[in-house]
Amino acid sequence: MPGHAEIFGIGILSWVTWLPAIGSLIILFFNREKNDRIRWFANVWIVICFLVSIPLVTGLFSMGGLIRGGPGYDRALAGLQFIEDHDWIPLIGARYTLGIDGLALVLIMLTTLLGVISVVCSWSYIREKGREKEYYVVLLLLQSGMLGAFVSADLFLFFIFWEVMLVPMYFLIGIWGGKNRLYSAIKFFLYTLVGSVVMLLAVLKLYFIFPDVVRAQRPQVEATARQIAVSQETGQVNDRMLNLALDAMRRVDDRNLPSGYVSSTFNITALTSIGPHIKAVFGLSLVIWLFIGFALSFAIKVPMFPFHTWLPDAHYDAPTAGSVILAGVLLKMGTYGFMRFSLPIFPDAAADPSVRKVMITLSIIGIIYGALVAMAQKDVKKLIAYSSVSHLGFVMLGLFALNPSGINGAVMQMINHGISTGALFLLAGILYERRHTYEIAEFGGLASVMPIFSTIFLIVTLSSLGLPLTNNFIGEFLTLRGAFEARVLWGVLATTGVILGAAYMLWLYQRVFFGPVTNPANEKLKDLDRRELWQFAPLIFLIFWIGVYPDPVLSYVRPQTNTVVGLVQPDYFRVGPSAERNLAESVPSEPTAPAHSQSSEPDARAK
Amino acid sequence: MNALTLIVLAPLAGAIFLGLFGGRLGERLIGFVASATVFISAAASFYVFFARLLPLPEESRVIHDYLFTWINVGAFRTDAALLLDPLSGIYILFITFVGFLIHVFATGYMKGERGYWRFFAYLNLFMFMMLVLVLADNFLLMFVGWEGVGLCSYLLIGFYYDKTFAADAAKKAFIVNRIGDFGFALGVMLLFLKAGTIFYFDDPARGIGGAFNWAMQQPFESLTAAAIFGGGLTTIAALMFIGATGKSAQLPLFVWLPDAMAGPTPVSALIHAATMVTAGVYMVSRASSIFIHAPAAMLIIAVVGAATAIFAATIGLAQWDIKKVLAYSTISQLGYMFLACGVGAFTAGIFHVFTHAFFKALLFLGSGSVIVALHHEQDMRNMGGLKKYLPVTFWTMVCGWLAISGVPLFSGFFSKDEILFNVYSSTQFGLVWARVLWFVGAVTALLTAVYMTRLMVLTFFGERRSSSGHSHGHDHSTPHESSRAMTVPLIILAIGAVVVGYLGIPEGLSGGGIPNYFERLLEPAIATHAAVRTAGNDVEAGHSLEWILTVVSSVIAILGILAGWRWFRTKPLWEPPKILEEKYRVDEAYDAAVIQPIKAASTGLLWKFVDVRIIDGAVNGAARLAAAVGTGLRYMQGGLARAYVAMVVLGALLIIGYFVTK
Repeated sequence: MPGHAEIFGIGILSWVTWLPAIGSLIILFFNREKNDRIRWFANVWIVICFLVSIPLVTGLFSMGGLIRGGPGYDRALAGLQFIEDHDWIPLIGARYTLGIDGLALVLIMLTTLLGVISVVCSWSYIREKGREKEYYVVLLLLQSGMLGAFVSADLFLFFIFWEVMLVPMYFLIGIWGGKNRLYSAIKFFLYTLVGSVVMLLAVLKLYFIFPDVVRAQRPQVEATARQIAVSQETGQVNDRMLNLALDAMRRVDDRNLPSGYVSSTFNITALTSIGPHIKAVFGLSLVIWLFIGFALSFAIKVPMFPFHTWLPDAHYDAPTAGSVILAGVLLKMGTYGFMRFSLPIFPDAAADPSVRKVMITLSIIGIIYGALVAMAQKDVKKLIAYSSVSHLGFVMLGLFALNPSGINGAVMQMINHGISTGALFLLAGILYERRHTYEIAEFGGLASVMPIFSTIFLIVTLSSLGLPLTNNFIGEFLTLRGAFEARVLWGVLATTGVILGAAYMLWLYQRVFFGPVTNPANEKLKDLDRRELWQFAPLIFLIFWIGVYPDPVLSYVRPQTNTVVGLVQPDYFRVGPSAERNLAESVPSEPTAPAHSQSSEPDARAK
Repeated sequence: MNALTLIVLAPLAGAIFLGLFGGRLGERLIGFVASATVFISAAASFYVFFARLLPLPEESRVIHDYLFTWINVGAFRTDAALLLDPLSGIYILFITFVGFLIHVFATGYMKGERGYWRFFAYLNLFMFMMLVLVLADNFLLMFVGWEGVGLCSYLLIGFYYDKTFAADAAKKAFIVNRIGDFGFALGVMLLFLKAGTIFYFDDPARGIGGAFNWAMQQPFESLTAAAIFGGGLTTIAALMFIGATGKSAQLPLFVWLPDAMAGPTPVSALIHAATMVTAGVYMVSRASSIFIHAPAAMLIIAVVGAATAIFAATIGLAQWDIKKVLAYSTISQLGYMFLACGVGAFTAGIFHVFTHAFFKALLFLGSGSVIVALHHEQDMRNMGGLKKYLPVTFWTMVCGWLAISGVPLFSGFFSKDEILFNVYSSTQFGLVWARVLWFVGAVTALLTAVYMTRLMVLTFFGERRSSSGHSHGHDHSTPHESSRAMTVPLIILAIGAVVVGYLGIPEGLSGGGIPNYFERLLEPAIATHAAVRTAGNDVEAGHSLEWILTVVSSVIAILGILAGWRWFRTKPLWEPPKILEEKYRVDEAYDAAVIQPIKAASTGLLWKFVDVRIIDGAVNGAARLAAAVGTGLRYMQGGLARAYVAMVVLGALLIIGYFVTK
């Protein structure tokens, strides 16, 4: 039973998406002098937004006719759930189609949670900085933009949201940012915009070739649609998603379309279904060009080396809430795009050896380069920003390992990076509020001045460097294992990043917290107050929970991962994970269930 | 879930409780909680080992305890599951027993220290991680404990975090260990790639296959360098051994352990002598079925072990800090253990781990007692003549001294003797290797006796020397013997240091009259291979040889003590060669060869040049270009009709030109 819920006749995904925007509309009607009221309203509202997203996981009880509940997200099904589908712009075939898969679900939960934290953490900072009304308007709009991108099941709708969320972020950096805020904001905006333009071209091309591919290869395309709709683990079929895609394909040759309707579609499932067959109709080079169109935009957002230089500046000048969201969610847009669009729609390009080699090489460079440059930073925030480059390199590496371990690990890393790096930026923000500087050399010995703060910082640091029993270990290990399985050398190279990760994080921790207090300005710093402490509680909880028992998260993601692997490496599940071992000479015949021999003891006791 | 879970979770509960509420509790309660949780763990360990494991028939002495499936992705699966067999059994016995004594000792040692609760929370957390390491039933869970003990070590070395050297030492320990863990992790990944599983043993109840069962069916790989890079068992073994060199402080990754002495002394005793640093030996023995198929890796282990043993012993000869002497001694003894593993005598290696846990913990705690009595003085140049002030400490340390030196009938004698005998009689690397390795081992034994005698002489004998210019004003006060919380553990450990050796009397010595309990117990848990001939599986050949070697090593031990005694009684402050005192300048070499280049490259080359100059330069350049083009375009719309015409014509020409040349 796929997840489903309606409130006042409107689907829950619409509520989750638009509620923050509604909040920002309401704030517009507040008197700008009444800052306290605005602040309280925004804080309460964002918590409501979070609460509304919870039924996506838990399901919702029906309450009268106004709230028609249903079960939460069903992990036995692959593909989209909570689907809403309405006419939108018939002229171009764009529809208001919402729907989320397991990947989008976990990212949405992360977004609504980080939304709460980013609003709560702004409490005193923005009181100091001013323009509170506009600040909360922008922050809530940003939230809607990001959620919209995750819930879109229509590529056109996705693109709109993708563009829309740029604007609030631009203002967030440009107005409430640090001293170089204009340069950083414009750099952020232009970088991302360049990517978007290229993506738009690719989207349009994909849109225009859709009917041709369907006409040429209808049975194969429909078979792919069915493959996507079936969960590999349970074999259950996601009928609703499948039917929407099949409808879109049927319209291609439908002569009875109402006037004004076109024969193509932006339905993502339908577009994904033609993906594996574009090569047969138009040749590989078009697939690769389309892939590049999408990939460039996503790679800038991730950001992958060498498109990363906007990130340290944007982070450095963004207010804390902006940094938390930027690191926690916005960067995930890029990796989400790869996982949701680039890999499944263009499997022939993604699995193309040279494309893959380029992507993996850039990822590994990103991992090591990001870590080394992080080590050189003299500034807390820039250090964390460069560490993001390194961490996102792991995500990209995992994705392009193109096997379940790698991709699941990559998704785990998306979430983990959101949690840990989000928390790190919060912590940096607290330092800034106390001392108005991010300069590492300004600090030292804080462990004795701010014991609670330093404990939390330590936990987050350990999580960030991937200590077992914290969240990052699961993701990092799976990612590296996936890369190792794909090609041993990739795994070996990337693993060095783990050593460097420990080095720069522990060095940072040492310089800020250990040693004697040398700077008199640090002698009387206030430890965390209750509001500051509580905003870390959910993050700390998640750090340990995912580290100790990751299965709940993995179980949401696995069906999607399997679908992607099934599209990108059709032979993977048939042949088994040993398919592309490059040490294949001495592989045992049964790699997954070895050594079930009579003697169950390891020793040669028979001596 | 059974008693195994209790063993692991009791210290964790203590750590969480103390971590959350310890700040508000009194010292007595904190000390009680911390010791009690470890006591529960120890009691449960003894119960499970003697009442549950030993009654099982010898060949099926394995107890599984499955908790939940930890990671399950594609074909890859790991569980949170525990496993007790004789090998992990012996480990949990001495870990919890020695651990409990050290906890009790620490309640006295740490009295009045700031962060008392923090200390015990960390110490409990360490016990948890160490027990996870040992009781895990697969390699990834072992890795959890493996990195977990590293974390606790980090926290405890850096316990006095406001001291710069402590913070430096902590970071160094973690990062150097990470380098080792890098190898371990890769080894585990490669193992999965080859075996399709990272569980140790089959467990049909859960439908999992074991990597060791797979390994036992693999061919015996060749003793060549090519095998190391061949991607087979030898590669797996070599990668895992990299992990062991980190955790167990072997060449070339030993550099963190001496610095780790910045932590409180009970920490040095528990983590950096008795338990954590022997994890590498545990791992190698645990994976013995992999290692015995990989002779090239085994030779590396033996050579690294022997080299580390003698290398560290020479440095130990020249240190003035009492804890540094013991630290290098630990490194050296760990080398001994690896030497044993390398020649396939895993049982002997584990036996030495076991006896070493007692006498080295004793020596460290004894030194702690001395340090406390002298108000945190660690320099042996400022000690001397303490025998009469600290009688309990002195006599217990005498037991440790004689044990580590290998004086006959003390515990270290039996284990060291067995290692040397096994090395001498090993055949798989050929006669030359066997003799050379034995010779290195014997010389190390001699050096051990000498430097330990030096330590004892400088600390307890002769005249009391006190530091000049010492500002504390404590200099002339008479040192007092420590409290009961500290002396009772010392006495118990001293008894252990004398007697635990009798559990494993080499059969050659007793002529088979007294069974070697230790070896018989471990036998089913350790893999053997016909090609790896050790004394254990060829008893008949060696009885007379073993007697000869025993006499030789006894003579060496006594000679070493006598030489040390004569030399240092007359010249206690004899200046050793500078190069030894400076530890061969390894730290400086690493700094110059690795750390500085990385720092320079990351700042100068990558950040300031690649990032700022090249990439950002290109981006800003593009932006400037766009601006310039925009300015240019503005002129193009100047409203001049002639200019428009010119542009149209130019454009048309370009387009035509394109199609013509195409």
